[in-house]
Amino acid sequence: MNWTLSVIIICIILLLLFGWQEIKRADRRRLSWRLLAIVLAVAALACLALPLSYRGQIPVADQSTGILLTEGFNKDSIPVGSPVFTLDKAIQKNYAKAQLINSLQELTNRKPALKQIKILGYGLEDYELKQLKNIPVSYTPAPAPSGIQSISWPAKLKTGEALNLQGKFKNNEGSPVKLILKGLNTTLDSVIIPSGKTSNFQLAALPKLTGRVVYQLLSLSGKDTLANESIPLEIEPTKPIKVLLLSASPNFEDRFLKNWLGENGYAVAARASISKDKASEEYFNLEKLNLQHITTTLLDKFDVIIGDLSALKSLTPAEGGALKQQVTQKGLGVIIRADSSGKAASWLQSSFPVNTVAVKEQLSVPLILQNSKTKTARLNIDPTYIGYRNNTQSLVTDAQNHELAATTLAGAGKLVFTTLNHTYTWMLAGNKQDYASLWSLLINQSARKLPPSDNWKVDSPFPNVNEPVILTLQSSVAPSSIAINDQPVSPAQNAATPYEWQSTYFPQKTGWQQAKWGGRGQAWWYVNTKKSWSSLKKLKKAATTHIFVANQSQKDTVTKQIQQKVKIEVSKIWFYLILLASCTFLWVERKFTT
Amino acid sequence: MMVQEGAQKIQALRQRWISLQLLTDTLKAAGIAILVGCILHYLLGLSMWWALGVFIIACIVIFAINHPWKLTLQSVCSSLNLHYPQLEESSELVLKPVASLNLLEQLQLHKVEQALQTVPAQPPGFNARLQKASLFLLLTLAASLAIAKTHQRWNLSKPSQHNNAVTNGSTNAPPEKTLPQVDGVALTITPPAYTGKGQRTQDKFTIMAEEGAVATWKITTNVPIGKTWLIFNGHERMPLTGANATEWHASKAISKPGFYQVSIDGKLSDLYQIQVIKDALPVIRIKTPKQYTHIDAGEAQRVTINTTVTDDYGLSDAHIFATVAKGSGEAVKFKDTSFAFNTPVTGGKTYNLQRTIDLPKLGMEPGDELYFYIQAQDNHQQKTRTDVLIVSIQDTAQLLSMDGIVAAANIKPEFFRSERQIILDTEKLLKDKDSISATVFKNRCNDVGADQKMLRLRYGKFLGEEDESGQEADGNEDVGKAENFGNAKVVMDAYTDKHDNAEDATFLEPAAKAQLKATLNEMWKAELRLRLYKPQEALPFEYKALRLLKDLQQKSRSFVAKTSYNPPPTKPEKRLSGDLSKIGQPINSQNAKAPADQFVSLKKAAMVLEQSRHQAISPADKQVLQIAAQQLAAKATAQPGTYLKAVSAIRRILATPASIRNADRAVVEKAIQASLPGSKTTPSPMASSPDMGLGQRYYKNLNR
Repeated sequence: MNWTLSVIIICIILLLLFGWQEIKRADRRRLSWRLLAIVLAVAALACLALPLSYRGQIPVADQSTGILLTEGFNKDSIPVGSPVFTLDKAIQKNYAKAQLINSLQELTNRKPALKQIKILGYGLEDYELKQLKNIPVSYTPAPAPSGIQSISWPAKLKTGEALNLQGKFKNNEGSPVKLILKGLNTTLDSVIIPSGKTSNFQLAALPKLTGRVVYQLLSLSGKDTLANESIPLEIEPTKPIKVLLLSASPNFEDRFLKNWLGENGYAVAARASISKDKASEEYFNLEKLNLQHITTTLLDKFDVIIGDLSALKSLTPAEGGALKQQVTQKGLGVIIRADSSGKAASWLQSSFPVNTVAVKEQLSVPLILQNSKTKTARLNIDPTYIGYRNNTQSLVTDAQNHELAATTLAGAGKLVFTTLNHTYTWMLAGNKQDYASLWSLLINQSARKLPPSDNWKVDSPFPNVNEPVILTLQSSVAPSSIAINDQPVSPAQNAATPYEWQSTYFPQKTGWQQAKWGGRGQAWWYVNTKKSWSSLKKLKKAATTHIFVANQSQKDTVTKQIQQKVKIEVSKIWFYLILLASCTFLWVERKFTT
Repeated sequence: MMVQEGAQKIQALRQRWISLQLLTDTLKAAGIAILVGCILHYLLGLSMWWALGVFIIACIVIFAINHPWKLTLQSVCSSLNLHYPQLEESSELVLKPVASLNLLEQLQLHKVEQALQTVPAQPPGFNARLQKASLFLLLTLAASLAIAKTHQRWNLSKPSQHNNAVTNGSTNAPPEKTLPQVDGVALTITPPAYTGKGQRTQDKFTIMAEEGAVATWKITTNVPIGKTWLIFNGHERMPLTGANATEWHASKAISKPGFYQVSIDGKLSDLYQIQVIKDALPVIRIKTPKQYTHIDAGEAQRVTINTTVTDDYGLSDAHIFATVAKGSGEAVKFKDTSFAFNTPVTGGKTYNLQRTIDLPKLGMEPGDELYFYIQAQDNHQQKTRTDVLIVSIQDTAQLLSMDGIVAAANIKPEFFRSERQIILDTEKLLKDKDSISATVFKNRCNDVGADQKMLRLRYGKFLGEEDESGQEADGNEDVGKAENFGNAKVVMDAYTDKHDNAEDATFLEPAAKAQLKATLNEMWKAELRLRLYKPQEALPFEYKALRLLKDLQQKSRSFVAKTSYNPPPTKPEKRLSGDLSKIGQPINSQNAKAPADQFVSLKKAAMVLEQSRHQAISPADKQVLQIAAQQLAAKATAQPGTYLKAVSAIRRILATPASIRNADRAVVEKAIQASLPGSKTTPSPMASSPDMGLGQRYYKNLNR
C-alpha cells in the first residue's frame, strides 16, 4: 500500500510540475490539448508502476478428457489444458504438446482415469477403435482430403471386355489435375479435373492382356505426381458355349453367326427348314445330333437358342413345352429374332410389343449398345421398334432411343428379343468389331449361367501390409482348409449366410497373394503398399470412426464447460502505448510550432 | 634559324595532333564495327566480313564529322596559347615572317621559341579523349562477347526440341555405349549407285542407310583382341577380319532393317540399330487432260498432256502408252503406240513434261477412243503408272442415227427430229456454200436460225418459259366481245390462273429441268451463230444440244436401288404336295479350333514383370522372359526403331534378375503393349453365385 501511495503522490507532484510548466509557456496555443496529454502521460506512468487487475472467469482445463490427435487434425480445435495424445510420431514432432503413446490401451488404462476421449483428425481404423469400447468417444472430423473420393472397377473381366473405371475426384490443388490410366506403362485414357472442383470421372480401356494385370492410375498436377495407385484386376479367358440356331428358312444372318461363333471355338448347331418336313442341318465343333424334334434332353445340351420368331412359333406344342420348361426351370436363354410371322401369340413375344413405323427409305443408323460409350457403325435396320414395357431392359437402341433389342427374365432363364435382321452386312463390310460387340452383348445377356463355382472376396477395401484383411470365401461346399500363400488360415462360417466362410489375414508382402482352398479352387488377391490410396483410406477411417461414435453405448455426458473465477492482470502494454502517444504529441507540438 | 625551328615545331605538332586524332577516331570506328558486326553475325546470321564494311563506313562518317586534317597552324597556335601560359599568348609570332616583325615582337619571338621547346608533343586534353575512345572500344568488345555467349547458350537450349523433332539423324542420337576395348569405329556407308550419293563415314555404330547400301566397319581397339564378330538380329554372325590385333574390318550390304551387336572375345556390346531408307516410287501428277475428255464435233481434235513427275533420287524414263480403239461393237480394233515427252528424262529429280497428241495423225476418226497412261521409271528400275485416261471424239453419225430414239421412252419425238434436221440443214448449207450466191446463203442461214428459234421456244414451254410469239392478247379476245358481257365463265377463264389443270403441271424432275435449260442455252447459241451467217460456228452448239437431248432421253429410265434382303419363311402348306420322303436332308458338319494365341508368352512376360516388383524372379519366370525376349528380338528385326530399346532392356533384366531397374521394366512393358493386338470380343456366359440353391428354392416357392 505504501508503494501505491508513494507512486500516486509522486505522480501528482509530477502532474502539477508539468502542468505549471505548460501554463507558464508564452505560446498558449493548444494549451488544453497539452494539458490533456500531460494528464494522460502521468496517469499512464502511474498505471505502469501500479499493479492493476480485475476479476474474470476462465474455462478450467478438463483433465478428465483425453484428446487423441490423428492425421489431419486442426490445431485450433484442441481444447486448452486437456491432456493430448497421439499414436503418430510425425504428429508428435509437429505438435510437441502431444504425448506419444504406443497403443490405445495406454489411454484406457491411464491413471487418473480419463472420463472420455475426443478424437481429432481423420480418425482410427476399425480394429483400433474396438480397443476404445469401454470409454465414451467423441469425434471432430477433419475436412475431406484432396484426391480420389471414391472409385470402382470390376475385379474380374472377360477377354475382350472393356475396363471401365469410375470414381469421384476432389481437387484442392491450385491447378487442374490430370488423371491418367496406364497399362503396361502406356497411357490408355485420361481425364482432367479442374482446379477447386469435385467431379465424377470415368476412364476406359480395352485390355490386351490376360491373367493378372495391374493398371496404374496416376494423378498429375503439372509435372508433380500426386498419387500413383495400382488397379489390380484379373482378365479371364472366355468359355465357349453351345448355341442352337433355329430358322424358318436358310438366311444370311444365321450363316454368318454360325461361322463367327464356330471360328471362335464355340459349338453351334443350326436347323433351317427348307421344305415340307425337310430341314438343313449344320454343325460346327459339334457331333451330329437329332435336331428333328426339340426335346428337353436336346435343349439341355445348349446354353442359348437363337431363332426367328416364325421358327419358334412353328414348334409343336410338345416342343414348345420343352423349351419353356428349359428356360424357366433350367435357365436356358433364348434370343428371338423378330420377323413377319403369323399373328398367333406366343409367350416368347408377350413382353415385347413391336411397332412398325412407315418409312419410305431403307433406314441406316448407328446403334448404341448397352454399357458402351461409343456408337457402332451404321447398320441397315427395318423400321420396327420394340415398345417399352415394365420388367424389360433395353440392350440396343438407335440415336432416337428406339429400342431394337431388349431382354426380360423368364423364370430362371432370360429372353432377348431383337428386330435386327441385317447384322451380317457388318461382316460383309469387314466390321468385325461391331458385329462381335453386338452379338456378344445379346448372347452374354441370355446365355445359361455357369454352374455355381466358389467365389473369393476381399472384404477390406485396399488391403495393406501388416494390417488385418477380412477375406471371404463363398462356396456351396464347406472348404476343408484355406491356405493363403501356403499358410493355413482358420475360417469361420457366417451364421446368417451359411455358404460364407470368413477369415482374417495379415499380409506380409505386397503384390498378388494366392489363396487356395480344399484342393479345389484358387484365387488371387492384391495387397497395396502402405502409401497407396491415402485419400480413400482417410475417408474410410473418418467414416468408420463416425459409425463407431454413433453406435457406441456410452455417450459422453459432459456438455458444459467448467468455469472458474480468477483475478486477471491488465496487460501493461496499453499504458506504455498511452504514455508514448502523449509524449510524442508533446514533443512534436513543441518542435513544429517553434 | 630559330624562327624556322619554331615554325617547324608548330608544323610537327600539327602533324602529330592530326595523327593522334585519327587514332582516336579509328578506335571509335572499330568499336562500332565490332558491335554492329556481332549483332549482324549472331542475330541475323550474316558473315563476320560485314564488320569490315561497317568499320570502313564508320571511319568515313567519323572523319567527315571531325575533319582531323583541317586542323590549321593557326588553331594549333591558339590552342597552345590557351593551354601553356609560358607562351604568353604569342605563339602565332612564330608563323609570321621575321621581317614583318617589329622589335617588340622579335623579342617576344625569342622568348616564345624558347618556351616552345618545352611544350609536350601531345595535344592538351588528348589523354582524356584517348581514354574515352579506348573505354568505348572495351565496352563494345564486352557487349559483343556477351551477345556471342547468350547466343551460344540459346543455341544450346534450342536443339533439345530440334532433337525430338528429328530422331532419325544418327548425329542427333544419344551417345552410344561401346565395349571398353573399342577405341573407335569408322563406319563407311556406300550408298547404291541409284541414289547418286557419295560415300560417307561416321564414328557411330547406329546405321541409317539407303536400301542396298554397303556398310564397312573399321574398328580400332585399344588392346589387342582375339576373335571379333558382328552379330546381326541376334543370330547372324559375321567375323571381322583383322589387319593386326587392334584393327578389324568387315563389310556388309544393308538391305533390311534390324539391329546388330559387336562381340569381342565373347563379350557383347549394346544393340545398335540398322535403319533402311527405302527408295520411294516415282510420283506422277497429271495436270491435263481430265480423266475423261470428250471432243465435240468442231473442236480441235488434239489432246495436250501436261504432267509433273518427281522421284526422291532420280528419274530415268517417262513415257506415254496409248491404245486407240476404233470401231464399235464386235468390229472394235485396238492399236498400241507409245510416245516420248517433248523433254527427255535424264536422271533429274523433277520434270514438268508436255506432249501434244494430234488424234487424226493416229488415224482416229469420230467415234474412236484413245486410252493412255503415263509410266515413269526411276534410277532404281522402279516403275509407276497412272490410271488410264480416256479421250473420245464425238461420233456425229451415231448421234444422228435413229436407233434408240424409236425404242426409248419417247416424250417429244418431233422436236428431237427437228434438232437433227437443223444439223443436217446446216451441214447441207455448208456443203452448198460455194455453189450458191451470198444472198441465198444468207437467206437459208437465216431460215435455219428461225427453225432453231421455233424449236427453242417449243422446248421453253416445257420449262414454263414465256411465250415469245408476241400474241399476248390472244386469250382475252373473247372477253372483249359484246355478247360475253356479264358472262362470268368467260371472264373467269380469262383472268384466273388455272393451276389445277393437269396438262399444265410439269412432269419433269428438277435435274431434268436443269439439263433441258442447258439444252435451250446451246440452242440459243446456235441460233445466234446462224443469224450471224456463221453456220460453221453454229454446228458445235447444235451437236451439243442434240447430245444433251439424247442424255435426257436416257434419264427417263427407272433405277432400282440395292437393299438388304431377308428371305421370307418357307411355308410348307404352299409347297407342292409331291412325295419328298426319298429326298435326303442336307447335313453339313465342320470343325474349327479357336486360333491359338501367338502372344501368350508376351502376356505371361508382362505378368512376370508386374510380379517382379514385389518378389524375386523364379527360374520358371526367367524362362518366360527369355521366350519373350526372343519374340521381341524378332519384332526388332522388322522395326528396330520401336523395339530395339526393349530388347536391350529385357536382356539387361535377364542378366541381373535380382535387381531390375524400373526404367528397363517400363521400356519392356511399353514394347509388349505395342506388340500385342487388341483382344477379340467374344460372348461368355455369366457366373451364378454359390448360394446353395437359395435362389432356385425362392423361385419355386414363388410359383407355387
